[in-house]
Amino acid sequence: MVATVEEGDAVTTFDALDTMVADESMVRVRMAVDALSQKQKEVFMLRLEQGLSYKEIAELVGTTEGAARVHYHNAMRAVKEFLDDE
Amino acid sequence: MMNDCENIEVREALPELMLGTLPEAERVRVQQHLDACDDCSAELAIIRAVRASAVMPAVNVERIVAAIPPYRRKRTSMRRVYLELAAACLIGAVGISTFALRNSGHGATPAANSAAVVASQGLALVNTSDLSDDGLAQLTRDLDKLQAMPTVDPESVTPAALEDVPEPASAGDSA
Repeated sequence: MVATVEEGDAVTTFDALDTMVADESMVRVRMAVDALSQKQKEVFMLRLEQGLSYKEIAELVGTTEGAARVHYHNAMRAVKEFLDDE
Repeated sequence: MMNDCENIEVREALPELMLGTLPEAERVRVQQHLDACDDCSAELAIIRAVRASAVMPAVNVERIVAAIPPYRRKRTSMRRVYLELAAACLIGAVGISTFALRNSGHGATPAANSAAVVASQGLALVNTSDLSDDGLAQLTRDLDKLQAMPTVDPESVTPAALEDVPEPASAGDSA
């Protein structure tokens, strides 16, 4: 008797693993974002979640456009370092 | 180890690429860079994960409250003021009219009622100190006439009986 692997089973297994990895990645990213300072977190999320420009972010958080840009890139570097250290 | 790509322009465009708001030409250019840059690909993966994790920033309530303009009461129009004044006047007029109607005929004092009765009998209340001798004599004669009138039951008095009442003797005659 030859065992056959149904195509759907393989796809299902892959999807589950992919979802698990994705969930784990999201948990780690969430932890990295939570470790940011309050100002970095605000700027970072307004940029990535809302897609706001630095000018709009600066008006919302009460800072300058240049400072908002610096906060964003510092936050991105901090997230990368957090994920590298994991 | 993730590093920062030196192409700042492309890195700045990654959020918009993820949101799908990049113009087509720029999107193609950024995509071509991504195919050859592991750092930017890693950064794009982080952006995708951040958006998927739906981590929301802490809400600064104080700043939001401070941004809300102070409440100002809407100015009352003059038409509304006039309507309110008219309503107040109407209510007052109705109240005063009701009060006056309820007290008409019932609010008179006993003294006033007595005065009305005396006046209806044709008698005048006079101050005798102001009367001359002739006036005093006339008043005395009137009183004598009243005293000379017979005491009868008012129910038994008929118009015919009133005509038969003899004229009392005058004070001058008796004197």
